Amino acid sequence: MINSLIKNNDAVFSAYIKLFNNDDNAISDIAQTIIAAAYPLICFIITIIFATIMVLLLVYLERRILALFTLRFGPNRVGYEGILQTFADAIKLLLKEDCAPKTRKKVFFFMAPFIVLCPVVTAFCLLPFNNFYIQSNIEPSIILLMALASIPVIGVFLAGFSSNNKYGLIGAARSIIQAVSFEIPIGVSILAITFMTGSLNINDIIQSQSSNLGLFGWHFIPQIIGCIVFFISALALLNRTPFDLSEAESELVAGYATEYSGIKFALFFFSEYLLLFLISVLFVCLFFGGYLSPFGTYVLPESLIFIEQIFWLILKTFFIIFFIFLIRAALPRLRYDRVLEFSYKILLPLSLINLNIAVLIQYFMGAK
Amino acid sequence: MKELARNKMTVNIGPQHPSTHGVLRLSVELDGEKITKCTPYLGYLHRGLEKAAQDRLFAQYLPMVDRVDYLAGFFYSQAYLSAVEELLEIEIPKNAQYIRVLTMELNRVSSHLLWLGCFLMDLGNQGAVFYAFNLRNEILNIFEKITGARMMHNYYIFGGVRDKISNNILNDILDFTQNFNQKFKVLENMITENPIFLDRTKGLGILTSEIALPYAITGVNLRASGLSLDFRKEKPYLIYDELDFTVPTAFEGDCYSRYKLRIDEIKISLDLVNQCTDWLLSHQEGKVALELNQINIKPKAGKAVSYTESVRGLVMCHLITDGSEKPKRVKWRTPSFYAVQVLEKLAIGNTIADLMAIYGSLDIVLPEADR
Amino acid sequence: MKNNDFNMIIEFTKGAISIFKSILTVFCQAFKKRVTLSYPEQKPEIPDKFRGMLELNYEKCIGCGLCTKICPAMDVLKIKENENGIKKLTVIDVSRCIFCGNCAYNCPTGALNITKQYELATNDKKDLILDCKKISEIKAQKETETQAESEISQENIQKAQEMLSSDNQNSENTDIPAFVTEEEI
Repeated sequence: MINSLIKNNDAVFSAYIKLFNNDDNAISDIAQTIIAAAYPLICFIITIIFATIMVLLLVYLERRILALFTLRFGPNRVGYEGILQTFADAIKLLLKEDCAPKTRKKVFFFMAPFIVLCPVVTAFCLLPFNNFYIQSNIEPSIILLMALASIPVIGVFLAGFSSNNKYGLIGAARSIIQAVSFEIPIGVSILAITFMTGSLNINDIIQSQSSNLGLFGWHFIPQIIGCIVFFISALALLNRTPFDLSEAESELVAGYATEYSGIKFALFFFSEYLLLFLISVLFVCLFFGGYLSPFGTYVLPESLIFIEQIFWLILKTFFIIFFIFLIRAALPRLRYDRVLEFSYKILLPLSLINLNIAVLIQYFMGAK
Repeated sequence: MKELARNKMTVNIGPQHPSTHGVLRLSVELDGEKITKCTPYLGYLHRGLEKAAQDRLFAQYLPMVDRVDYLAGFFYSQAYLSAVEELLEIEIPKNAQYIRVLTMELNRVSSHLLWLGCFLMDLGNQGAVFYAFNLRNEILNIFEKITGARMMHNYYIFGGVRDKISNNILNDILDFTQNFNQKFKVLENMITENPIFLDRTKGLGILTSEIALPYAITGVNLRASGLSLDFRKEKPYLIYDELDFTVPTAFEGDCYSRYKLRIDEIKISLDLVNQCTDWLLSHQEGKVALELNQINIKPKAGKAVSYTESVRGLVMCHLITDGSEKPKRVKWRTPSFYAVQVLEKLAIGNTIADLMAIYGSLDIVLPEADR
Repeated sequence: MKNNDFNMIIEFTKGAISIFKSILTVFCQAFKKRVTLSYPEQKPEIPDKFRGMLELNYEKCIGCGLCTKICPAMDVLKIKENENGIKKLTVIDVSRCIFCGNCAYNCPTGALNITKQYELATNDKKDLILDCKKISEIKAQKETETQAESEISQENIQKAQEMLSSDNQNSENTDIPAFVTEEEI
């Protein structure tokens, strides 16, 4: 059954499965056990290291980029040009006293940061960095990615509910309603893309955008409405300005994380930045051609294409992240009831119109 | 069957605010999301400034007057000095009057810029604070050149001002006012037609003149409700009757019209600054102070009241003297004290997010309310 | 109905355009010069009238007490009799000073002055209670030291010039005096 979920062109994973099953008894039992255990462990370590580095980098980048737009410098003294600033902040949070209210629900209070963090880190192994090796290349990878990105909402609710704090509960309730309302436009936009591609696998979606036209063959041109709808809904899912009412500082509520301190507090924001990276990569893969080069052909020679693909993906993702930070510097916050109105009255109809356009395009340009 | 009673939740917007309004405690009763009752509690920033006046000589109290509202120090100095000069029966020279008006109007602009930055930060826009403060920084640098300090100036003395403003500084002021509009355009482009901002402020916190007048609201808050009351025109002091300016008024009384009026006031104040600077450039020979012994000020026994149109409204200084070298009683009538109280009417029916927007638009400064 | 829908679409487009304009305005700020001063490396320009810490010219002080009388913070300046029995301003408490300048503006002899010193942080609050007599003694000592140094260097220059001129006259004279050799070393 697993074999049917794995894609055929994934050489490394298929080799691993062969060794794991040991069908032709080619290697000894001990070697088989070692390989069976080592491969997932190595993948796990790579994912964790990558996620940690990405978060540290993103927090630092956000502060520097916000400062860029507000005529300041941002942190530029700790380490070379301030790179170690987040590391210093993390050490400070680690050493803080972990005080929590006595009347909290202990089990849920402890579990909530992990429920918020773990699915997001897991989703990192689904990201397509290049065509030749994806850590976990399963058939319905978009669905799994969106599912993993939606589990943190449960963690948010548990955090607010178990704090036994009325501000936390209000903040948590708002967060959940916002997250759930914006899942629908995102889901419909992704559905439109799958119509145009015919597959739920992210790698296939990227490959379907490759053509001689390069930049102009990507999905953002025929699906421009879907692109905008996805972007705005993504901002809302990530609780970013202009939809960040649940973590607004000028309100009295500090949101669902009111009663958390020290490393548990850090884990909430760790997961927020990881989700930011994740959704940006997804956005780039769906609409902007993922790891494809905008010139159509690759610049580097055959053997080095995999490096170039990683480079293009990271470059495009950082452009999108830059734009998200720019929006934070420029726009005020939407009021909460307006947020929901916006989702149901404007984004949902637009995404349905987009779906119709996608179906029409597929009908006239040959179905898959 | 018992009726399901809706429990009202009392929430405390505590003295420690993440936003920069100062220390105010608002006890708010919520029914779901809407506010049913809002009670402000003052006194967290009370410094006993009125009592301090009774133990100090007139000139000894003068630096403390700058600190009643540290964002509008010149206005309070003018209010206090106007009362004392009325009892001393002196009139300050023309140059001193023009310098006082010049510095007061620049102070008005700097205080409005700070208000603008903080109001936009409350609404969520985190970039606007820095642009507003950048402009304000230039004004504070001008103050530093004129008086020696960026905020608590101690520049006005009994009989005039401490020294004259040199031509270099006057030309710097003219440069500033000429370049201001172009730099302010950044803020205007970001905000004035932004639909998110308009949606957050239009039609919100409507203060009608029927509510405002019994609460003794003055200043921009009252002018946005339709009543054109400006004490620079009603009871002209210094040389305001010689200057040429209009008083903008709006009729809706919501947050957006208060915002618009303050932006207009910035532009009118800069025009007044230009007029004063031009006059001073051509009349540099005049005296800027009467020769008075600052330490030996002994006004005659009596009572004096001075009216000053400060940044947030009317400031009155009641001064009671008994012929000795220390005042008997100094009472400050400050505009924010009354603006805080009208919050209990304006907050009803809105959510907490809107409460922050209304509170920000009223331009309440707690040191002024608590003294 | 149709008009209403049409208006809504126009409002929506106007709104979208103005949001785009505000994003573009903020983006253009990235190319302007930074406003921050990197503090310890770059210091701000201080204008002439700036009010920093106080400084007393001990000789000029006549102990009249006007500064103490006019100080709003009331416990900053203390006048005491020194060992000769003359009243002088002896203590300036910088930790209580509000830097208003009333004392310096009203000093009749011009003994109390305002400096431009604003970096006043110390590790111990007691270091901020200045003893004017000691400060003026230390200052006088430093001045005599620098004066003596400049006198010595003047003497050295003169002697070296004499040596050079005598060398020109008497080139076979290899007898070099001891102190010139030490100086060269």
